[in-house]
Amino acid sequence: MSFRNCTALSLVLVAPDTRATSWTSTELRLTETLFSFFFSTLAHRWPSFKRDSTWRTLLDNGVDWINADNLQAASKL
Amino acid sequence: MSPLRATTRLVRIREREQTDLTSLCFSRPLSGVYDFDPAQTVQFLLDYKTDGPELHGAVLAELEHFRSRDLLTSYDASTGDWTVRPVTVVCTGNCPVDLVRAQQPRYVFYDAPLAEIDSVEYGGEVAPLASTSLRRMFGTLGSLDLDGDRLVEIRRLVSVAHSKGIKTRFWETPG
Repeated sequence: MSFRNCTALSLVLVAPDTRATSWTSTELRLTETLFSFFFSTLAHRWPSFKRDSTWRTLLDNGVDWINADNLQAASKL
Repeated sequence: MSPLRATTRLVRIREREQTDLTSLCFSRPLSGVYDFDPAQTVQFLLDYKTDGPELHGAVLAELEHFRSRDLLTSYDASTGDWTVRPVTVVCTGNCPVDLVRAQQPRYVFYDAPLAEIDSVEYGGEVAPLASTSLRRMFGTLGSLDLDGDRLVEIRRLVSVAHSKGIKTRFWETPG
């Protein structure tokens, strides 16, 4: 299973044909809000099993240290 | 444990030991931050964000407090001896490798670029740690599936590093 399409969410927001349509200021403001919300919260979030399997693969192949933001999850590996 | 809490605790431990009768009776080679494993050294990564050479002087001045209390791991280039202590300081980011190499005895170490681990420039006595960004190595977006060529490359880097006595680290991992 692959999560390549996760990143498509950001592409939808900046697609050229979407930007070409004339938007009202309310719509623009809403888009900006969605943008900042997406990049501040969701853009860097991974499904936990995907995150765990990446960490696990690194450790299983001899890597000594991994940087992890979620220490609780990392300690349970 | 946060670095600040860990160092504060280390200094407290060391100061207490000087008056602690038990410590005087039983000599302990290394008394670290972990109660369950006192011989384990803590690795401190100092990430230099501003001008390296300028910052390095300031860092050495700050570390003197800990060095004088014999808390820092050091390497003596003339004898080739390691002295492992509760804290091992490794600088990363804009860390000036020339200044790290010039220090004798060395008690600030270098975080080598793992992608350039084949270079003879980096040995375990200068850089006990080598790191790289997982994201930068395999592309910023898209799948991070670690298989095939990616896995072969990771295994190769790790084995070259280990043969030089260097530990490996990946940053910008998911989550």
